[in-house]
Amino acid sequence: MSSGAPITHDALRELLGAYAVDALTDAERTAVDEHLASCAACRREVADHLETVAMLSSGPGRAPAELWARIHDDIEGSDAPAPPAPVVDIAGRRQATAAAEASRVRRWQGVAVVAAVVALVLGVATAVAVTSDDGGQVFAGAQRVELTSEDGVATASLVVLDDGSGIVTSSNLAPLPADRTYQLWAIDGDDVESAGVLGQTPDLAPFTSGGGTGAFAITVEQVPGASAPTTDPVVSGAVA
Amino acid sequence: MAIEDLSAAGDAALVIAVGRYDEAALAELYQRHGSAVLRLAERVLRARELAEDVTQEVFVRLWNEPDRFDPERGSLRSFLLAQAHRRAVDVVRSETSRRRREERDGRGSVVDDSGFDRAVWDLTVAEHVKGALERLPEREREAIALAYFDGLTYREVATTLAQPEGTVKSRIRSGLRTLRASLVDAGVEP
Repeated sequence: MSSGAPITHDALRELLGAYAVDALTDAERTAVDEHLASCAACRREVADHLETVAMLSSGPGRAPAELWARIHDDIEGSDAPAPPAPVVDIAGRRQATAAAEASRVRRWQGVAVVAAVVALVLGVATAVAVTSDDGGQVFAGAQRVELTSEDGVATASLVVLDDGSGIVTSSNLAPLPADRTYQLWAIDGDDVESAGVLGQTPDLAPFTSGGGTGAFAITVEQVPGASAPTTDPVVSGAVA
Repeated sequence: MAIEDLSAAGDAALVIAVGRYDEAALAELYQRHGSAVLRLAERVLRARELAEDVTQEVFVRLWNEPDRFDPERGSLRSFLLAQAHRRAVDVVRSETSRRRREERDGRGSVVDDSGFDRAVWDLTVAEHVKGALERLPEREREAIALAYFDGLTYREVATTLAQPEGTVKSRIRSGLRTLRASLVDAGVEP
């Protein structure tokens, strides 16, 4: 190809047949690729040529089983893990093209991470490892922590993630009057820090603490909560 | 969400299923198109093992990137064959394999007096397409055959046939159009 003068549309069209049979030089192929990105008419012509040459290849015939075995081995381990019960209904998000649909499904795999958190609220998982759609692990080693009173009567269950955030999954703690609230404390040695106010009924209340907390306790505090515990713990417990 | 009857599902639906990591859907697509992909690769590469490698690549790529296929743009068959063809031609043009081919064949490509390798053509081309090919002007047929099946650039075809480059380019293009019209008439191509 001559350098300097830009290639004309006519000249590009002359290349389309050769392009469809991979008979161009790399430089010419690149020029046509760039042109096709913005020219629907030329794309249609190329598509027609590709359908035509596809006809030149034999139709019926057995695909060898041994070759499938190699393909199977090659893709093994690149399956998505089964996501937990989805919160989002992906069937409702179906749209026109297969391409958009397939990539949307793949992107949704990342949303499965959110679904995993919701699943924790329902007490579905004790230890959960969820991968995002690029294969990275997002939440690893969520832990269930059981808090009890000294006599074992009152109980509360937490699920805590590696970063210290979590949810109170269940408890048998009595609902509090409107001027009181349950409050969760994260205990790390001598360090006692508020992990959040849980409300009149602690069930399903989210909280945040520093990662690596060793123990938790719940106290009853005056609304809107306290900077340090003012009462003895109702329930407490350590991370296993 | 799994497809009940894979063999009754259309290609586009199976590609969507592949997008949901449905390996059975990929297997069905391999049953449908694997042979055509393998034979085309084999014809261009003239080497069974290399052809199997290319075929494997094409289907693994379909597994990993199903959204590259847009059913609005053309059939899955033409998409897979185009991928296989491009890859096979790239392999053919690498220096080592060209030398090996020349050693084996004696020349860059086998051209009998009808302009292309008829024996291999017969094995490669589907029965119902042969009539359309017979009706194609010889000069256009040979240009397409050398470019498509032997993996030559249009410049190499021009050298091989002792014709001007521009002439070869336009014969490939007009030959494809004539072929298409013929196949549409025969009800073979939509």
